[in-house]
Amino acid sequence: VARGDEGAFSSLYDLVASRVYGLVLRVVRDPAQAEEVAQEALVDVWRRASAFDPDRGSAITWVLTLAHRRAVDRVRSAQAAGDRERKVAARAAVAEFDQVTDEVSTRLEQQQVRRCMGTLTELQREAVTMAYYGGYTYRQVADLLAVPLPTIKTRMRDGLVRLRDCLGVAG
Amino acid sequence: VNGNGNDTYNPDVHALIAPYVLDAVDDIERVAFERHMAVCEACQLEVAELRSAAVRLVDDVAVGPPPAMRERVMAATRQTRQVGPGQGVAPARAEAGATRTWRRRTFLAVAAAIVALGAAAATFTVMGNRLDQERQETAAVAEVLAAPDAQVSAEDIQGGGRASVVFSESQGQAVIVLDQLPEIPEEQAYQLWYIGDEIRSAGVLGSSVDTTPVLLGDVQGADAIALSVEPSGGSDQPTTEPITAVPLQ
Repeated sequence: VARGDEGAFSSLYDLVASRVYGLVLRVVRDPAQAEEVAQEALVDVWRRASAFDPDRGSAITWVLTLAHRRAVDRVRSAQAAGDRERKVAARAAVAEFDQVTDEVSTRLEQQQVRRCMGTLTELQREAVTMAYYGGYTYRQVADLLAVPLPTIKTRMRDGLVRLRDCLGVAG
Repeated sequence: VNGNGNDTYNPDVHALIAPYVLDAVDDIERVAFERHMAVCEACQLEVAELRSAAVRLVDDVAVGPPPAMRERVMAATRQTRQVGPGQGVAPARAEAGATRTWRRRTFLAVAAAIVALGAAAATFTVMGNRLDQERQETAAVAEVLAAPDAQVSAEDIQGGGRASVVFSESQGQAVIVLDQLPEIPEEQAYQLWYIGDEIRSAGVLGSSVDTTPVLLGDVQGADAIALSVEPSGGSDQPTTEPITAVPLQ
């Protein structure tokens, strides 16, 4: 992809699109905006492909990290703008919205993630999911859960470490 | 802003590792953590591991995108130039040798982009002191800094000082702050350049430059902002090697 191969990029698209879109949709919640942000993220992947460093993790991790950042940025700027977010034209996208996840393998991975999230304490799980799916900062999470800041930072870390150990993730 | 050794372990910044991985930090904290990470190898490893675990949370929310998104993304990539070392865009044949060196350096700079915390902080401080007559530019600068897609990059300047650029792609504008730039003889001037397929002047700054943020209003088509020393009054095209080039990303 880094060499400008459009065929390679289209394969990459098929591999990651449902995860990129699903993640962004979960964070920004509005399907029209989710499509816009997912699209920007994927074009960004194309544009910055040469910055991808395989020594620092897999390509999918890199792509999803980019997408998550963009989704969170969108949510935060919407918050900052007091929700006077411009609603983009593609309202029709809601109609073609497809709930079905196409990859069978994803379902197995999904079960594994759910099982592993079950090994976290409630506070760890809340801290991690509010930040990752909700796009909240750790300060907001601490506020919402009425927990001191240092505690929330630690719980997030403990939660991620537990998730990593359970999943047997290779760095 | 010399991140060598001394601040290798800062417990406050280090504790941000999980919020950083979860994108649950604000922009200033993110930059601070990335600076810390640049000198903390253990952090780089842990970030990579925790990140691989965090992105698995996506498995639980994957949803097929609207079918039309595929063609829209493909169409957009056909119109989007790639950046970085793999770009391989051949310079126009008529370009002078010096220009080619410029481009090469630009790509090296893109590859080695370093983010600095100093930039944003210095900019805000300076902005607090702006005069009324400059209010308009200040507002434009503030807009760039507040843009949701604003990115900070910084590079050291040959001969001393540091150039930090805040770039907003959505606004098509950037702001540069030059910190501790040495004074040069009056018959010379610092000049800024937009570097892309072509090289365009981005403004002549004079021989003595303070940390006032400079608005770069026309970054369209530029991959980087460079700085060179020119005769006072400036040049149409750079006549000396750049002393820094900060990638726009």
